[in-house]
Amino acid sequence: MSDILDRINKVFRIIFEDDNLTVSDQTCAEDIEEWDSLKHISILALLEQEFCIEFDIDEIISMENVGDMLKVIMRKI
Amino acid sequence: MNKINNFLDYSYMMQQKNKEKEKIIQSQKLQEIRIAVLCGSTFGVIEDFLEIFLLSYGIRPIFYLGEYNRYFEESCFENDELKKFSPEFILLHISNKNLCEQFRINDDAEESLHEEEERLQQIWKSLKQRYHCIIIQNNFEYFPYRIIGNAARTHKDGSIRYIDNLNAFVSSYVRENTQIYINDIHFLSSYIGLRNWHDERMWNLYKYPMSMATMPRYALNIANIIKSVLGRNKKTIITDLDNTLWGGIIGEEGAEKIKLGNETPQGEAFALLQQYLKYLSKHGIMLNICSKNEYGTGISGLQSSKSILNEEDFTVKKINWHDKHENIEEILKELNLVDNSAVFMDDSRVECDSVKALNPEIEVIQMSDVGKFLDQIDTLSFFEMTMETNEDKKRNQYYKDNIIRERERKQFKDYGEYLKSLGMVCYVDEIKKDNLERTVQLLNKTNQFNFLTNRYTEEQMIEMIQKEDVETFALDLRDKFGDNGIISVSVVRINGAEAYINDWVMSCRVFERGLEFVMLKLIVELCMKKHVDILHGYYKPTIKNKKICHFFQELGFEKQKTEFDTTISEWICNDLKLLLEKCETDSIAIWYN
Repeated sequence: MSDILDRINKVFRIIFEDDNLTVSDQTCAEDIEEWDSLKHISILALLEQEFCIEFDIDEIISMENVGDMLKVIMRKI
Repeated sequence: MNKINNFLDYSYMMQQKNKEKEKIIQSQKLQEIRIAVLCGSTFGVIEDFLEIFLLSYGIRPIFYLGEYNRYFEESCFENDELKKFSPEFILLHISNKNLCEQFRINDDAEESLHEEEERLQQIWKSLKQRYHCIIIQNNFEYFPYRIIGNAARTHKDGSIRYIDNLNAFVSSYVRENTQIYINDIHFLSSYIGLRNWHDERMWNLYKYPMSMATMPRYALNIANIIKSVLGRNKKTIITDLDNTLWGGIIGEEGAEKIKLGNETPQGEAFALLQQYLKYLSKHGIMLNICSKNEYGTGISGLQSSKSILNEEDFTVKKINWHDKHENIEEILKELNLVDNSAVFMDDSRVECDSVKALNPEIEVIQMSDVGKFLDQIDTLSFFEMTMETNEDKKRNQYYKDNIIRERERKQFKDYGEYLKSLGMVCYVDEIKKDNLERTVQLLNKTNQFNFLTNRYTEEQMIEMIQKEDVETFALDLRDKFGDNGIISVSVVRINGAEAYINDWVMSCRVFERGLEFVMLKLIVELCMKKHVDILHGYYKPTIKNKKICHFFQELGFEKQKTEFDTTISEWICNDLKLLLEKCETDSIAIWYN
């Protein structure tokens, strides 16, 4: 599971161009200043690519923090 | 691999775009342009992608983003904000998501098609009248489903038929009008595949009309149109022979054994590549050879009956054992072209790397797999053809004539004597409706002999030539080898006793012929006729127009302190009689139309 979180973290570092960024289960849009809707879509697109999966609309709507993303990814891989 | 190819990969794009932008902005002089995007759906991240492609073409965009799904209203009604923005390009970012009429139950598809056509026409007409700028119009992609199956193509209410008819309407409008271009998303979506193009989640959640992975390619397609309109296309191809135009090494195997034509699978692929290049050459792209071979051996490949390209399809042929980068420099010198207008193709990694290192401005493509090569060169769209004038089709001929001129020149002791022998006649005209397409193209494409590098749309030029205080010249130069067409244009504004050279360009095809003195003479004569005492000239330095930086100074103009713009130097001459004497030339006869 921590391996998956690492890979999620990698995606966040790419999107926010910050090599020191570390996310946890609780990290949400309020915690990262630049996390707007454009960035959100980019995160989802890169996560899909990273894990070779495709999120459903329901899953996308349910994702309110990194923990939610992790849960969906765990279920799909 | 080309940088642009890398950016088509979505995740590479996300990782590298900001670094790359920073790099380009700091290292290059960029041409700023204002682009308004009128939206039928979300534009969002596409703006970012479009910016990176434009920057890599040397263009820095300033965007105006319309409101979501307000493209019709923003086009057809008074729009102060857009007017203030004063766009040079308007992109209509629309797709089949903006056409749902054909699914209205019990509606007549013909009628709804007609309605849609009217709407589009209304948009174009209004934009043209209000903004006098270039319009980029998306055509329409197929829907990812066909409710009635194969009949969707033939049935009167079929969705495929509907899209085909609408696209044919857009195409014919664009063909018959100027200043409007198609962004062909119908092709793009087929190329990518409808299943990959459409992503209903992106639409349902965020109102994007296409999938994320597709957006870089969509942005590139738009950037290609813009760079082409701005005259930033490549102009010429320099190609190797062995394992590039045919399979095998002709010096070892002989002309009969090279792989070309339908006898071998590789030969098929090389034949297709030759057809592709032949097509480009017919549309004005010059082909040249740079190959390490004995001349006769190399040429024997093109003389072979298997070869689609033959000797006459090439402008300059450097088939020898010199270093390739030296040969390339010589080719470009003979063609009078700058490095960044050329594409070099070769199968050898070593040759490609060394050319890239020594002539970094040249676009280098390494041909590792002939089967994939066409896709590679096609995607990069070096020769995107937005405006093809008759001049373009003739371009190859001009350059060939020029090379004969050059050879003759070597036979004369004295350059003046050679010029006289050319029997040059200059036909003087003004910019007018008949030659508008060509004169505007010349103004927009000329970089080296161009004092201010102002770019114009046809609409702007019409406005300009209608002004009472503006006089223009358009010169056509003929000599014993042929007609060069219109190759120099100037725009002069007269205000009382002073005249200002607002624009002055001359094609590199006629450098070193003394034609600049004919133009200046015409301007000075005009001044005298209009009782002008002082003539103003301007020079705005760019990377490409260094050739003319001392032009006015050498003719005795005096430098002025310019107040309005420090990047432009202003020169004045108040002894027009003396200037006229300096412009006398006995090698060009002048005919007034």
